[in-house]
Amino acid sequence: MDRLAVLKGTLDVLVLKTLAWGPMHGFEITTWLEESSNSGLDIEDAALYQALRRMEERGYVEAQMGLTENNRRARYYKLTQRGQDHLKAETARWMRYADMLTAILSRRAPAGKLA
Amino acid sequence: MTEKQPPIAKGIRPGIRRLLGLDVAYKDRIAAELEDELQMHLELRAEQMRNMGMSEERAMQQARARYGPIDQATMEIRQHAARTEQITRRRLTVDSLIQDTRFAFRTLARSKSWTIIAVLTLALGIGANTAVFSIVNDLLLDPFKYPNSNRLVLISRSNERSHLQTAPTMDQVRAFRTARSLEGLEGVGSRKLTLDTNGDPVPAHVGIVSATFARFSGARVLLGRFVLPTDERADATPVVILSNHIWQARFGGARDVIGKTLKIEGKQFTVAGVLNDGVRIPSYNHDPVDVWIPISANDQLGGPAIARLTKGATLDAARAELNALARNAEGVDITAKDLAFDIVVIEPGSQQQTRTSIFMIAGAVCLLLLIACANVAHLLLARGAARERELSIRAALGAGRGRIVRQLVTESLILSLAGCAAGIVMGQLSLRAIVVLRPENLSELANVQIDARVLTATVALSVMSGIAFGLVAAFSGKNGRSFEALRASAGTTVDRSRNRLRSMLVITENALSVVLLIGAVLWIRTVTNLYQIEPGFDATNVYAMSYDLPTGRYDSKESWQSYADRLVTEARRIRGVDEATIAANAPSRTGIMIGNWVGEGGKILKSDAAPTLTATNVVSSDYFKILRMRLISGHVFDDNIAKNREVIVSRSMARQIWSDTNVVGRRLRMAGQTNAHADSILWNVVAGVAPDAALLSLTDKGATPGIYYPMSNSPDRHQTLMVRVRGTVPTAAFRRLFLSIDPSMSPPEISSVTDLLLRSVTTQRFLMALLTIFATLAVALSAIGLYGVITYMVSQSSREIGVRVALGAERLDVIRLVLQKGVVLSAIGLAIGLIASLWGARLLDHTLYGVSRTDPLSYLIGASLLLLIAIAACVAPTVRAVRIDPMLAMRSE
Repeated sequence: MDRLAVLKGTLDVLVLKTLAWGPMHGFEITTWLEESSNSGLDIEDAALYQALRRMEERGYVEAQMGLTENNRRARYYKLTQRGQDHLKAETARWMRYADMLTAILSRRAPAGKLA
Repeated sequence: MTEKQPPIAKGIRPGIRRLLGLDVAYKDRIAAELEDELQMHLELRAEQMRNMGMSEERAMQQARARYGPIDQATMEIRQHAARTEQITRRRLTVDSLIQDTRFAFRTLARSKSWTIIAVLTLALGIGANTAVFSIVNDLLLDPFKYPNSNRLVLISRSNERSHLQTAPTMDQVRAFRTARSLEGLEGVGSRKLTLDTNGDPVPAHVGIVSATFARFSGARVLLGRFVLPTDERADATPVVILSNHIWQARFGGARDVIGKTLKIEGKQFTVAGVLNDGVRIPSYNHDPVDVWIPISANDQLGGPAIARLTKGATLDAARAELNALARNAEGVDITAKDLAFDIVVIEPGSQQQTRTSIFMIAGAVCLLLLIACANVAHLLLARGAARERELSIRAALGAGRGRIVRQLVTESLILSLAGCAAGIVMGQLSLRAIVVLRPENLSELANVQIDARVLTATVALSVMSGIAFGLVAAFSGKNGRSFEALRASAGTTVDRSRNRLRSMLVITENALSVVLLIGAVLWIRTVTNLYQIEPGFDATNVYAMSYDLPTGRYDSKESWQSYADRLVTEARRIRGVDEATIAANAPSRTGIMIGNWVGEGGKILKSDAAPTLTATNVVSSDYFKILRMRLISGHVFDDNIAKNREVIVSRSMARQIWSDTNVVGRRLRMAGQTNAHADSILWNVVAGVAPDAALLSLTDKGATPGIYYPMSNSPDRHQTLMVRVRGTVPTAAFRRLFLSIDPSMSPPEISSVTDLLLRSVTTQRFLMALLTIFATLAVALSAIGLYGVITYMVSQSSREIGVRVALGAERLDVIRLVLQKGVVLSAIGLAIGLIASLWGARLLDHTLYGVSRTDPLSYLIGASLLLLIAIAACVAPTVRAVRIDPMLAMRSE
């Protein structure tokens, strides 16, 4: 299957969800998302870092320097309370949207119209 | 990143760190971090690729490819970071300012009494300044409140020799209208005339102006129109423009008032419009104008013309141009010396003497403000010493120098603004008080308000001084720069720079107070002298009523004479009136003549240095009797026979012309009249010599030659009824008297001659009172300042004193020690102040009377007062010093 580009506006909520599993640094986030989508999602790294910075400003995530397993210094991102709230709200929104989308698109055409 | 920070800053939040200036450049850090992060991402990606079996090279390639537009992203992130930093910084600044302000309020509220004293002191200085400068602005700088008032000038003629000023003629005014250096010229006159709107004539202030006056003065026409050029013609229907208050009061504000008629001095005028209130014109009193009438073509102007200089034109240029135009207009050879006239272009404002005095008061109030500021600085320094500890702790916790300075400045700013607000309230109250208590001469003060400009200047001044104080407080003393203050024994470190500053402040305060004190004493003595002047006659119980017989009904000498005769006869019948007489004027209101006198067989009475003024009056025989003036030689006039140009001269005049007082029968005339009449008509014969008296004003007694003409020979339209009464003056009876003789004339005011004499003095007295108040306040403030300093010094040296006492010092020695400090400080201030006074006293020259500006007695009084008060201020600290228990002193810190 082809890789899908991440839809505009959804990267933030994806990252937040990822971080709900615990603090990660940038590469970890990318890796996790790829694994979760079975390599279905195509994430631009640049976009990811932009998103991370953006969310840091908005207070959804907090950044702190830490050490990786290989004892390398890395910037770890942590989900804040505000981020959690935002994640919950956005998740609900997207779910509803996806439901409505599915409902409309899977409607059977009435007889006599489109095949 | 953390290695770059000083250890002490590690635990502090990044945001605060940034603000405290302890942080390395944020932007660079962001960039470096980002690079690190992305670099690591790249490497990890490459590693991932390698693990999947790619070669090193290919792995890197792939990794990079996966990046996406990384450079652009980096740039965007960097820009974003920069913007964020700005916003954060701004927000933090605002936050910290709010924090500073809140903290400042708390600190100030904690030491309530200190704050109240500081605010009150500032309020005092600022309030006094606001009030006085509003007055200065109102009287001197912008007396008329016309638009573009900084280019206003008054134009009058001045006799080169007598320096008297008279109004320009209409010919000249017409000529001046073409002048390039003027961009507006209005003839303006003012008279008190009888106004009759409903059968009840009352005195009214009439403004006589040219047609374009409304635009010139910025006045607004509320109804109808203003004067038109056509109204100025001799054949035009006389029109009158009402003022708003007359329109409301007499016509009920009815809009159909246009076309109604009223009478002024018996002559009919038609109402053509209404003008707004508050329009001022130069006049002798500064009452509001009630009605406006046009200058008719033949009118003499009542006073100087007002004009506005064109932009860029100078006073000198205007003067030259106008004189050239006048020369052409007059067609007279004005190079002839005695007739030489000059066009004088001056800036409008009060008379010279009052002007100087008012500037003096302004200077005095500035000094007061300086003293108040010095006191506040004292207070701040005292507080600063107490807060050493607190500030040191803050510094140790990481507050940068800048932050601490900002904190202190914020405190001082709040203090100043509070003082400013309180001061403005005080100023407004003082102005109200001054308006109520103002002397008659300064009736123009009736409308003084706090001016917008003065207000702005006050606020700006407060802000600046607040910042200055804060800086002084911040940079004096160590303020946390040294950690010594944290030690328990903080009290022993005597802060030398602070002490020096305080000493200088005290010295300055004392010097300024001395200046004010001496000024006040000089003025008090002047006023006392003025009150003690002998006028040369006995004015007790003598009252005067001046009036003008209106045109239209009294137009001949006979009518004037018969009115006077009837009035004086009836007046003598009123109960309580002992004597009555008619003269042209009361003393100190007499007329003047300019010119030289030539006496037969004597010198020519003239002087090159001073103006040749002669005081004149027209009197009947009873005049001298009523004033108890006994003639030195000769006899009074005979009321019934108008002898050939008899005159009575004053003693000084006789002596100046003939060096003798026995000059009855001699003749004299005015010199320099170039008409060709025969001499005999012009000669006057001396009938008697009267003693010198205050004719023009109280201070003039004897100096100005005086000449009296007989009433029978030359009665005038302008008359004064003078009466000597017993007991209370029967005001109502006089009113009835005037109304009974001529009901259409409004009865004149009654003034006592003594009041008239003292009128010139009341201004001086008022200003003197102001100055005395300022001087008293100044001395009080200085005393407080001195008290504070000495107290502080005593507490500082308590240890030293304790040691000395323990070593055997006597009480007297301790007293001497403390007093010495205080007296030395005052003495230095005193010395400086004395020198400053001597130098500055020349500014007082025109305002003093009877005392020289270096009068030793005044200086002595001033100096002694200050020393006494200084010693008094030192008493309490001295007592405290004496009570110091040596044991306690040496033990405590």
